[in-house]
Amino acid sequence: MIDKSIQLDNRKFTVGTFDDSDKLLHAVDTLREKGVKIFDCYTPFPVHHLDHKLGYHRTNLTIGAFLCGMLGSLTGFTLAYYMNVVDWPMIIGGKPQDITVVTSFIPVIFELTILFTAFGMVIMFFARTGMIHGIKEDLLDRRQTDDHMLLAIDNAEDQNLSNSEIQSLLQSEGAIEVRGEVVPFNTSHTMEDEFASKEAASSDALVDKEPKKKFSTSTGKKSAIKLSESERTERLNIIKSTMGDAGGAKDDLKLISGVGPKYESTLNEIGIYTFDQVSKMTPEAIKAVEEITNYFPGRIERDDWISQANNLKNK
Amino acid sequence: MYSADIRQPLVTGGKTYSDVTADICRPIENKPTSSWWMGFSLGVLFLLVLVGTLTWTVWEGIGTWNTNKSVMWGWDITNFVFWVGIGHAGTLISAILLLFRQKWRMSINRSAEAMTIFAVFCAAIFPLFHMGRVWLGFWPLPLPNAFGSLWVNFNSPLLWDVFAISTYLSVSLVFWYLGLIPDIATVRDRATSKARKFWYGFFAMGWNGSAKSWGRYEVVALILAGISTPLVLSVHTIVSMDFATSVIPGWHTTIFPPYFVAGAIFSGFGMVLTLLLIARHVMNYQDYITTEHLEAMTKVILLTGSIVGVAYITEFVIAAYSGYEYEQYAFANRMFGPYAWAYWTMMFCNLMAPQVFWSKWARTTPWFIFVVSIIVNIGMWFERFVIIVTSLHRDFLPSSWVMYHATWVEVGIFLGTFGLFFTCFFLFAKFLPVINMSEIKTIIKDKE
Repeated sequence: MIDKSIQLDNRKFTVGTFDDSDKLLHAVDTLREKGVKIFDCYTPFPVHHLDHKLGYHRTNLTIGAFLCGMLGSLTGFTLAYYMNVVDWPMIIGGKPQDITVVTSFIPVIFELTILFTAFGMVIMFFARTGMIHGIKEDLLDRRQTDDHMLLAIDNAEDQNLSNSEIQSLLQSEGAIEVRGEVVPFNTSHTMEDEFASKEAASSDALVDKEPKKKFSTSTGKKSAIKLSESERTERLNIIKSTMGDAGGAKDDLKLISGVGPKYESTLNEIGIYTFDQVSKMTPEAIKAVEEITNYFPGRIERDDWISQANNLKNK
Repeated sequence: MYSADIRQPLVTGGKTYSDVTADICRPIENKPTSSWWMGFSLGVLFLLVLVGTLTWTVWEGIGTWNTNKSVMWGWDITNFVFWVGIGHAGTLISAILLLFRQKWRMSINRSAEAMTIFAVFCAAIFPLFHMGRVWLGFWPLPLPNAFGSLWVNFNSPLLWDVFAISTYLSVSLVFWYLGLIPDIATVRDRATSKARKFWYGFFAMGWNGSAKSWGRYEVVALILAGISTPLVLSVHTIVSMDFATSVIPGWHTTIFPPYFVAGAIFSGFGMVLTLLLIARHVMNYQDYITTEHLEAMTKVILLTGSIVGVAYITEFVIAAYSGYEYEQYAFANRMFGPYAWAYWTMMFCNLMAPQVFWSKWARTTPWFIFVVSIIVNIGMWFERFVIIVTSLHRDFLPSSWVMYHATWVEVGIFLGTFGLFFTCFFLFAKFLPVINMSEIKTIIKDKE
């Protein structure tokens, strides 16, 4: 049913965050007893028995590894036998060069068995997990590779409990944070927003031991043009004319990947409140928004806000 | 939860998960310290020596070395065996100790594996340049060639070596990289600069720590450990067969494979200790590499050192008992001949020195361990020198007896490989987490 690749696409998740692996294991047990379908868990380190508790079967990669090893043995044997017995028998000390000489091929056969097993298995692991160089990581929490353990439930899945029941269940299992509508993001989007929200959300600092680093404003900001008042009004007009008025409605713009609480309020200031408005953005309006808010140039298009907003609008 | 009452906690200082992340990412995320710069510059300096002496060797020819028709293997093969041996500790720690469920390996496996890879790089230089015409270095590969249908000889231990070393290097690299992926992802998610985010993101391959991937990952790591164990044993076995399958007195013995493997682990742990004692001091990792770790490593040194010592004595006794005068002479010549100083250095460093680790004080005093680890490194280099040079310089035919002393070029290449090794190690310590964070996090709460 669910592909267990590490790519999460554009699903939305209910996420319980834990800071203790035992609590996470217990929560998994409880939820599964109640018949809740868990999408997956995300932990910074391997939590023992977690995969069994989630009902995952032991991987079949070992069979693949065995087959690769067999292929390696066969390759080693064929290589040595063809070269030294069939194609060009190398007679040393008058010894026969036939099948009996295979004993001295064993080291090569052995090494190739190991080589094929290792590479074959690792390549299969990457393929099966969907890992490849250059793909964007799908995260649900920036600290899931640091100290947060997540229990994720796909919101699109039919559950016999309501979402709010699941959330309160997670809470009672000792989750330090429960979030209802989490969209996977990757770390290449606005770092500044992420960190700002993190600092606002939790009092425990990201790096407890060190004085917090001042996150330098990124290049996009430095090169931004300082707008005069008239230029500002001009751009506001473009925004207003293409994207329309919110009409008092307000959506949670933070659900758009690339928008944090800080940037949301910036958008609100220039009159953008709803997904509907965002979905109507024209290239001209995007440029105006970027310039007026000093947002990273090109990021809105790269993160594809328009289709993100369309998806969110129709939910 | 795992708890071993006979051991002290493996990580001290009451670290939380985020402490571990912050501590281990610190060298990566901050500007290098002055001691890093000092070590790195020294490494680069010696690396330049390597480049210079190798260039001279290729430019002027192999005659810049003092190897000759009797002692055709000199410092070069001594250094080759020395470096390959050093590599063995890394695989032992990460593979064999994983199978034995020795949790203390977790703080040191990453750096020991890195050491394996760099040591094998250093080792590979020697046979390659020993060929003289380096640009024909691909000839040992089983490729169709332009000289008729002659193929490589699969009966030769030297060819086995080509396969063993290249398999060892590539499998170690894969094992190391696989172990690094979750930690690279951690660095990626903390990154604040675009370049770091890009490069760590690139090498993290999208890792996000899902339970399904962890399940697969652990199985893959276990199988890799399972196949690396016979691999590491086979590599030094095959290296020892370079000698043992010949008929030279002093080489032609069946004791060589186990004796070489034990020696390799012995010398490897010597080097691991040397490096880690420096690293733990410079990077303030005393909470992660505790005296408990040091003690465990010195016990391995004591064990393998004793195995090596027993092998020395066995070799001698068998030679005396064999009634074969060439073999008897080879050993008498080792002890009392012109290279006796090398033999007794070896005996002192490998047989006697590690025996101090019977004392608890010696096992838990860092500066003392450091001194002994250096002695072990020296001793193991001399072991290979003794085996190679004293056996070759006086063979069956007294008219071809010669003495062999290295030229400055050979010495330079050897010192230069230390430059390569340390340059790589310092770069590793700057750009990658030297301690396996994801593994350490599984044990910090174990004592509870």
